[in-house]
Amino acid sequence: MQKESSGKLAAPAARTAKLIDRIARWVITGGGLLVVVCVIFILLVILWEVIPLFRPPKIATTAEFDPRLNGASELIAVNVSRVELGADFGGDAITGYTLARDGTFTFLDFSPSTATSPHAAGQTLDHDGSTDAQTISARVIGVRRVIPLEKATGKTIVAVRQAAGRSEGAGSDSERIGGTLPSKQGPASAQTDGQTDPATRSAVQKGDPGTLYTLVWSDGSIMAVEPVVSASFDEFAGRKTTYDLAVRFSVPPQPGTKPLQAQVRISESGVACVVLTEDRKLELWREVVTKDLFGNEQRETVRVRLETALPAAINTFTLDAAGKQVFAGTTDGYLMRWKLNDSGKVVFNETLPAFGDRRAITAMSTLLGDSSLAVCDSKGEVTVWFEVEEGAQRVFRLIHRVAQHAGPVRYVVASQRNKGLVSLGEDGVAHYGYSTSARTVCSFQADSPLEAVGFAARANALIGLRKDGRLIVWRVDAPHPEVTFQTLFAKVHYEGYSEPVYKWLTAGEEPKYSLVPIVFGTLKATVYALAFALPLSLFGALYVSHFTTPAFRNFVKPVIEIMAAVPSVVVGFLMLLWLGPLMSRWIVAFMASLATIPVTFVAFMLLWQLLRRVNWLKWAERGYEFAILAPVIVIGGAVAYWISPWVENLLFQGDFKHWLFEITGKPYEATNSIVVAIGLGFAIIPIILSISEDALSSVPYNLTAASLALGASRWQTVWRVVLPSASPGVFAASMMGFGRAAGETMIVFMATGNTPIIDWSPFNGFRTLASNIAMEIGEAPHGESLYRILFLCAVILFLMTLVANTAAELVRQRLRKKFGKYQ
Amino acid sequence: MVSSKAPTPETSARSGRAMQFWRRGEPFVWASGGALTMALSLAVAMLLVVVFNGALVFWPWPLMEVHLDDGRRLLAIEVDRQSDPHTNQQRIKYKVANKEFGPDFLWVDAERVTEVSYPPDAFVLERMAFLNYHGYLKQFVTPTLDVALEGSPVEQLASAIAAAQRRMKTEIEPILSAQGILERRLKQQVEAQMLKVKYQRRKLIAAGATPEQEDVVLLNQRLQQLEAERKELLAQSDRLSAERQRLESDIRSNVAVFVDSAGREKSMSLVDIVRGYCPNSMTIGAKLRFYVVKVWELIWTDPRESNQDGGLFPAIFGTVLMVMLMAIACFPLGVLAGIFLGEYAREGVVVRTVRIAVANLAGIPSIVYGIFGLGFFVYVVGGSLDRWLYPERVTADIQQPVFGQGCILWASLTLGLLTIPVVIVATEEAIRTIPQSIREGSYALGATKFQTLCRVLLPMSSPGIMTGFILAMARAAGEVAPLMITGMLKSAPVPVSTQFPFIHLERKFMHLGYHILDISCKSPNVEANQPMIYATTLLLLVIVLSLCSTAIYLRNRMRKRYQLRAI
Repeated sequence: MQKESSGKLAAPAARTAKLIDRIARWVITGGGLLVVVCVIFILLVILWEVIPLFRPPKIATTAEFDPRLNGASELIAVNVSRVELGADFGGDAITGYTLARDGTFTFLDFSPSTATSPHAAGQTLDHDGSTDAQTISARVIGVRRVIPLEKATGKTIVAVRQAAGRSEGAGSDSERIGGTLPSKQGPASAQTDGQTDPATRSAVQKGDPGTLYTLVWSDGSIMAVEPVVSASFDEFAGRKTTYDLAVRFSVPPQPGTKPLQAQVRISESGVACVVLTEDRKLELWREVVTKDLFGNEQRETVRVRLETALPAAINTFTLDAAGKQVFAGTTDGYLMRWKLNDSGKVVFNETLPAFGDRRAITAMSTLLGDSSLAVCDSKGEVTVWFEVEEGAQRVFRLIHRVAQHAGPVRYVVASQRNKGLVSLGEDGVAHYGYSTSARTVCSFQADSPLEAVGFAARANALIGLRKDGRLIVWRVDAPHPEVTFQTLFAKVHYEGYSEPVYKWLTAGEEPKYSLVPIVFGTLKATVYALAFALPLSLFGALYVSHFTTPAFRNFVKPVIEIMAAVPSVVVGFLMLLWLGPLMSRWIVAFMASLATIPVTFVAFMLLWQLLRRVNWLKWAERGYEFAILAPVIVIGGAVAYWISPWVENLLFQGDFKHWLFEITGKPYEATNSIVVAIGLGFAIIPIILSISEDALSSVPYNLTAASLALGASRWQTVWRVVLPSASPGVFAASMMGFGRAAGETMIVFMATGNTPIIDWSPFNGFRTLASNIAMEIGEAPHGESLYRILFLCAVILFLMTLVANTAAELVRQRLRKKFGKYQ
Repeated sequence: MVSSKAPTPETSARSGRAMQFWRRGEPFVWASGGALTMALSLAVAMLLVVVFNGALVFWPWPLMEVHLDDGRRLLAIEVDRQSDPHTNQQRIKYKVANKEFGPDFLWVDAERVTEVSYPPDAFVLERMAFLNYHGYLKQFVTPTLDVALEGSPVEQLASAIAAAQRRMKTEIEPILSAQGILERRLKQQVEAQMLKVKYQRRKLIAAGATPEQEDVVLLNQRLQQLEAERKELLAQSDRLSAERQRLESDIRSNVAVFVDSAGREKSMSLVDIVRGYCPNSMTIGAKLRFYVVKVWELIWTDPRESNQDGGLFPAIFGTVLMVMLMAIACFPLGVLAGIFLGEYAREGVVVRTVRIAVANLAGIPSIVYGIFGLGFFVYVVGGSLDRWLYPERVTADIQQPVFGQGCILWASLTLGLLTIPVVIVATEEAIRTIPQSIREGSYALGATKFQTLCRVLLPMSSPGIMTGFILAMARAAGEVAPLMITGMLKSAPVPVSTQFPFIHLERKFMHLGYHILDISCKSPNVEANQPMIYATTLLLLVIVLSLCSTAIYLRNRMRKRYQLRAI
């Protein structure tokens, strides 16, 4: 109807005013709706950081080609390394190498050609172009032979084993170990082709840990070599790819034996080499250097046979990184282990039947940290074993099943960064399994079965050698292999624990990310806080809304509001440095006061029956009860203080804290749940009190008046009429108090020990979702598992408070509607 | 139901009245009154603890010489006295200071104290390092200080310190400021330029340029120039350092020698002493003067000794600046949404959803805001800004983010989001309290809704909206959890300087609330910090509660005014 009139009458100014009016309406409505968008946006942003935790790992082939160089012999091992450099440097740097049967390492660069070093003027290998869009051509950046060409006698490698190398500080190591090498055979890195300048060396040392290959030659000699290839920066050229090869250990052929397999481990305590001999027994070879009178060094290989209890034929074995434990598996399903002392003597030896069905054990490897052993068998299962305590004994047990192959497992390689492993089956499929989360993270399968695989040290790339002789490289993006729904919310059997537990502990090699103790702590905090605050604030609200004088009411409401404004850091500090120590001294008196204050109150009520007959004392019953009660409560407290030594002697044998420790086995903590409950109570009492007071006083006066007119007393009216009508509002107030208590950070952070334990005892602390975030976010690198799990904590907290606040708001809206018509 | 237990005629009138008292539920009324008393007394107790402890921090307490039964003597201030509930034995806690010789607090059984005296010449020294010192002045050794020492020992010490400080000011400070200028040039101009040039060169080469190419060569030359400039600046700075050290050791050779209660001598450089006083010989007037000076110092000076001593100026300034920025950030959305709810909205699903959203925005835990600020403002917005403005600082090998880290800007924005609901609620209430008749009057004169809003409603409700802002500021000033994540630092200079752009939004800052957290939780010597924590807490409480009371007062006044008009 206005449209017409405006069309006829409006001057331009009026029309502009109308237009502005319409625009303003849109802008203001938009502003209102933006609030809704804000809430959703906050949730989406924190969810966005959580989602990668549960996203399935991404794998993509990036290169596939034929690596056979002119006349090179058959390849027996491959490896790869990937460094994510960012767009400034042409994306990823993927480098790798292959080992041929004649001992030739060929170093390869799979990165985009524009970004490769100008030094690497190598030969580009063909690739068939059949892979995805990110296909990258590989180029050879160098070739190194373990045995120089002129010394080669035509011997070949018969067996190769790989293990974590130690390229950190490779230079000095090489020298040290190089010194023990036979003089005729210098370190292979000496065969430089003019590229290993000092700058390159330092770059190599900064790269990923290398891989140590133990080679068994056809003439019976054993050698351990460590190839390293890495991408580094220099100021001028951007990226630069460097490579190096070091011989760490070498033993000449030993008379009378022919090693089938061998594994060398180099640790702080020296070099250990375990050899599987032709008769399928294990021997430990160590090199002993003796000096004669003239200072000439005499080298001798000392061979110690590792005795077994059973005459079974050993099929596979492994040596841990420290060189202190040897594990072996037999063809009939027995697992053997030996523990060695520093001088290489066997101090413990055990043989145990691993599988009931006597399946052959085909491959094994220790995982990072040496506590766990990955065992692979002929039925294709990959299992993780470690020692657990059972009674007084430590026994070796199967803990996790991490992968299942279709056929027997050929070999297994442990990751050098986490508790992961890659196993390759006879069927040519590789699985990336993870011990803590007991799952197969992803699987790798090529057109042609895989013969050998290499796993990047950062667990972000995998290279496979196919049966048809071609190489295939996958990028692996599985940044959170240790996190699954189970590891977050179910019990997990961690290394060193005798049973599956809920545990939050972010330090160490195997971080423990169970959110159960944290969620429990949040619930404990809210339960204790509400137990303290709810009665006080609900009864207080009843009193303020219906029993006291209007003048006092007008005084109390702003006081409560100011109480709500006290910063929580102030409350936290008071709890920590004032109430905590106070409570620690007077805990018995506090507990006694829980009894003495009600008793004093009842006694006072009995007394009051007499006093109230005095007319001039009657004024107290017109809204000043609270003031008369103040001294009563003080007296109750004083009585508790006075009787507390007596109570402590009577009930707790004179020392409560000692008694508590004897009974529960847990010490009294100064910053405990009682202290936090009072602190949180301080924070939530104003909220509950003021909101429920609003609800209670909004109950229409007609109802109260009718009730009073029917002869009900003031308490009966309030309890039977007002409270039921306003109960939704009281519920809303409690919900908001719950939300605040669950999300309060500073009080909990400061006033508890922040110990993530599951224990209802009021005399120890807890850790809540909020304080967990505050504790850990400083040490959580952007994008890593801990960072994302803390965002998950925030999501859980957000959803908890969302439910509580939405419910409270809905209830309040209904209540407002219901009572609105009376006003 | 009421009649079932009617008093029988036999019961005496007295017991009938007593029964009635219980049956009518009067004790429950009393009990609810008791609940209120306890809730309020909790608040009052905490407030009193803070006020009492905080206000007494700077009072110069008497320094007592305590003789123990084993012949030891302590020059100490009594800070606490406890008695064992079982044995009734008393223990006294003494602050003995002199941290370099051992623990600065001691518990002593009261019965071991044989004699207490108050020597009038016992000094308390406030020092730059090691906190306080208690002792007796022995002598001055001032070989390179031109000062006439006369008057009482306290006056002598004060004039000696002043003379030493004067020398520091005239001789050292110019060198320090020159060094500061050099440092700034080095960091902000030369080194930043070098990073940029290196990045450009690296980009060129990554794009396929050869080192011999012309632009690469040019960049190389530029880099060499910068490198030379850097070396020159460093050399200048080193020369200044050497000069400063020479002068400083000269000034430092002027010492005051003190003896403590155990007879140990300690000679302290005059510039290391902030102030010395003899509390036992001070008059009440002197003590009051001292108190005022200390409070002044608390507010206007920088902290010393990793925040354990000294003033709070950077923290106060940081808090105020952050709250100001926060108010600017939460203004538009808060007021718009408040107007929407108060004036434009018609009851329905949309409004109910908005109200639920407001309730949630108010109820989301502050730590969640913090983590949102980290994930969104710092890493997404800040990270993008850095990649756009300072790409040379965030490459794979150099990580010196400017905006991609916690800073005052992101902290303020996060808190702005957190305080929006406070503004919304206050604005809505302010607009709703204006009587409908006023709107109708405006419409009747032909004003559009927006004109009514701008010319009538907003001016009338502005005190209410102001209330919202003040409440939001109070909330923001006390909030610590989100700031822990998005840009607070234990100790940082004021994020304002005389250099463009004057207010450095990308810097970290100090905050009163975080200061409390830092010195009460993260400090190795919490006991000695207690006075400082109480003082900081009192200051924060005064700020927050006075803001809050002002807001409540304003709001109540406005409510009253319009209530009268509506009638």
